[in-house]
Amino acid sequence: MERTLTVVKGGDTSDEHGRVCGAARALMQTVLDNEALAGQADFFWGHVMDCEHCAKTYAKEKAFLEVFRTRMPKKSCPKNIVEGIRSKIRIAKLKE
Amino acid sequence: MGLLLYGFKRDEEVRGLGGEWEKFKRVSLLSLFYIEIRFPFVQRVVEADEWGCLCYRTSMDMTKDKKKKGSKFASKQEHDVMFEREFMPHINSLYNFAYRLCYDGDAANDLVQETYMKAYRFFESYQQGTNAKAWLFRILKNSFINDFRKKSKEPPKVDYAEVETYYNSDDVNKDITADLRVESTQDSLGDEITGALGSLDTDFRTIIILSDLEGFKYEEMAKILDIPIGTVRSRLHRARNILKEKLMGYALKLGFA
Repeated sequence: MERTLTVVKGGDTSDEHGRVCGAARALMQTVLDNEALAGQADFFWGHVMDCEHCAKTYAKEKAFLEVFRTRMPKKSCPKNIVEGIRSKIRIAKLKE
Repeated sequence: MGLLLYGFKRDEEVRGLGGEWEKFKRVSLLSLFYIEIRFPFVQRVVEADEWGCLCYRTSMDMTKDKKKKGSKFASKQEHDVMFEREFMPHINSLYNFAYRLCYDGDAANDLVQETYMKAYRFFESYQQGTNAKAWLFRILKNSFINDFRKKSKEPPKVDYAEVETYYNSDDVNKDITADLRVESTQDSLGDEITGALGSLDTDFRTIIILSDLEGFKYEEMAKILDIPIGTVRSRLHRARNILKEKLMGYALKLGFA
């Protein structure tokens, strides 16, 4: 049976560590989105402090999200739309 | 009280017109057509309720709803001032969302206007001080889906005069861009992020916009999209992975990968 081994700081490998890594990875998105519960966040950060691989993955994911969030241009609503909505509301009121 | 049957859900509770949940009976509805055939006494009375869902109610209850309920606002002016204060500050976010869904300025304009008109119509049922932005986003998303469904059933319409003018012009040999997304990305040539987002499926695009551009929490997104929180998480995860794959070249260029 094929086993997944994870390299941790200092070249150590273990199945148990692989399982913890998997659990931490599963929580990564929740942590990145600030949606993790206190216990989940404690577990995640506790692991990331010890695991270089997970720390790197986290840094990469965070950087990707930051780039995406900051570089995506936002469209502003044209002013005539705001006026259009107000005039439609005025018409709707007259009809009432 | 009229009974609203939510056409797109299965085994859902039926909600009363006033906004409270009413256990009428659990209905198994396969499609809108199914309701109309199976329950001939049910009539479609409004296209969308305050949440933008298609609504049905039994015809026997229709007369009762004609009586106007007492307004929670002291005057019409107060109603309008509160509407402006609660909803108008979100117009840019809403327009941005509409534009990223349609990738067409005119369609986004229509969608935003339609959303605000629906919000105005159902403002009485909105709980002040709750999440106005999420409420508007949900209406807009549902309006988009309803319009999209409607349009996808219609054959494509072409204005004959436009075709005639085109074929009589000198531009006949020029390449035509049929996909509006391609056109809009050409506006910001080289903007890989806009292009990558535009190439995602609507569901994935929507979740990314809500989460990463508008900053909604999982719970809010679940309400806006009418899906469980677990689905929000998994859809967001998949959407970001697809986006990452599409942006791999861009990321390498910036030194992130």
